[in-house]
Amino acid sequence: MSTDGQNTDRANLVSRKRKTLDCDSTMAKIASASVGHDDGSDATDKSFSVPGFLREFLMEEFGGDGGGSRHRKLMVIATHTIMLECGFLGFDEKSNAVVNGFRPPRDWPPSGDPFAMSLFYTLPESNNRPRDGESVKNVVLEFESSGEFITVSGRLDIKPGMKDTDMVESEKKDTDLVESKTESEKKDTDMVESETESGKKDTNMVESEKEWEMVESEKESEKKDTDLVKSEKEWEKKDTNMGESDKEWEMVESEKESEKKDIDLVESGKESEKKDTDMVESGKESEKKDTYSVRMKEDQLIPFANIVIENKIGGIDKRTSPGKEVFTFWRTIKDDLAVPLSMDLRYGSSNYFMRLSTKLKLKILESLSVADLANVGSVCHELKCLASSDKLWKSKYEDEFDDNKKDARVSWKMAYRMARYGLSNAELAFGVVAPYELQPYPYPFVVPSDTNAERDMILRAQTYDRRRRR
Amino acid sequence: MAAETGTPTTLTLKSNDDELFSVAESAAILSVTIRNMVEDGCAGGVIPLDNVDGKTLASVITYMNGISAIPADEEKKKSYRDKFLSDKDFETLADMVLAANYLNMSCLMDAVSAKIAQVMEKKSVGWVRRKFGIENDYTPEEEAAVKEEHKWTFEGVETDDDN
Repeated sequence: MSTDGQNTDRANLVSRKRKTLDCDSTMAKIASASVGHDDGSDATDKSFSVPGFLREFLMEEFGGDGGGSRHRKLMVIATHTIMLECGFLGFDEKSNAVVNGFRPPRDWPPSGDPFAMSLFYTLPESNNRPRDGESVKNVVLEFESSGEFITVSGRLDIKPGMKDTDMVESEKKDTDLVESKTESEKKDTDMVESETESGKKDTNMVESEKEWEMVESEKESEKKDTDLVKSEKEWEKKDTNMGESDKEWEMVESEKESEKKDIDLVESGKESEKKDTDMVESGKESEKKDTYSVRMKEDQLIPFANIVIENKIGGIDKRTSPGKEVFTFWRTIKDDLAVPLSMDLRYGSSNYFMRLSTKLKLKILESLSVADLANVGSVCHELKCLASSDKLWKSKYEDEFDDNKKDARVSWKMAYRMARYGLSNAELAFGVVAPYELQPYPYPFVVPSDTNAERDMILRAQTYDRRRRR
Repeated sequence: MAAETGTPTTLTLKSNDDELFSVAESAAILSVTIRNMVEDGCAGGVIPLDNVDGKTLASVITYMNGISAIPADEEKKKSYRDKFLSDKDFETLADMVLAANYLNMSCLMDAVSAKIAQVMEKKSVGWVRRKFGIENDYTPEEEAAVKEEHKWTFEGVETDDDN
């Protein structure tokens, strides 16, 4: 934060401090904090530098409220900020409305154990496009204290009884089940046809396809049985394979437990999942996959809080930079909670494909046939761009046509198409084939392979056309 | 080293959720990433693999062990790979692609991406959208145009209805 920003901060702090003195209850303080924030101090609205913002709220929060609950509140507020920083918007689950701007949580639970509260968030995009009959998609963060740890877990918020996206989806999928069965039957015959090509794959593949459908549908209807059996299988496999290392592994595990408590400031996500050496417990995995959690030892938060407070009290003293601890905290919350949650919200929790990097997606698309590529391209913009990739089509071209072509005039996709139908550029431009692909891509992130060649081609075609008319 | 002691060297791999796995060096060096570490002499003690979770790493190690047990016979290796991947669900496959990429195991990478591609084969657009949870960001006109544009690819190919 710039010096200017800090000065503004400080000015705000002073004014807030006065407010704090006037108010008695914590609730009133928080209310005034949020109002005060909304009224002015744009500087802090725009830049949520963690220490800067923490300092501000500490003034409000800890004026009369010390001890046990203050580091919890600190953590909640810090997490809230990080979520906002990652593009989330606050969400009021009661009124189903988006809370714009920075507002601290209002309804603090009574201090003391056990401490539990929930915060709701949504994303701008998902809010702008609510389809018919759908509520706004949102995620929920739950803070819970258990013993000396405080756990923050985040997941997609699916309200039972409400017509949520996921509910609609699962309804759809139920009806699809019948369809997909016929699909997989079709596949049977397809597979048999392609048997000569793909050799030994056939039966295995058909079976596995069916199994996937099954697994999916059963997940949908929330029967965990197959999952359990499946994961049991997996664990059995692991057992046989890992036979020797198993014991060692368990030992290390228990050691790790005790070690962890001492060392780690932050224990990050998926923890309970990894500790499931017990086969039966691992059945719950599929459920946990969608929940991200971060667990912190409360003791560790105290120095974290102290650093920030010191920083505040010390004012100009920059030697006690809270950098490292705050950064660790920030990074953990961001990486383990905010980012995966925003992916879930955007793509739905089952979207494993779109989360892969572009490089990997391309790699996967490489194995598709031309027709399948076109099909995948019809799914969404991003996949269309990927499925039109020059590299992909170059290899398709080289596989099919053996003419050592070095350079595609427009794109390799076009080259492929022309070669396949024996068309020349001119023929193509005259409308033998609809010239959709001559149009520049409307998508800003796609650079056509050779714009000049494209323009050139259209021009030549036009002059040729004119000449011919004469 | 293996040659000196006569017993196979084992490496200890650590997943990002702190599970430890022992694996024979000969199998582990299928991963170029691990092989480089071994060659650089960084493989003493525990090798941390920060981008792979325990469940996936267990799978990958199963594969490493399985494939390295097969002598140089491409046919057999191929059938092992097919069999190995046949019971994996899509989620696992996606995790494995990531792991294979990180570990730089080209053979696994190729097999898994081919397998994932196979899921998409001859599926309707609607099916792919639902299966992968992809939102349709085309307007109806755009979608029609894209379909039209791709018409040529479907000649002689039967696809499923758009359900």
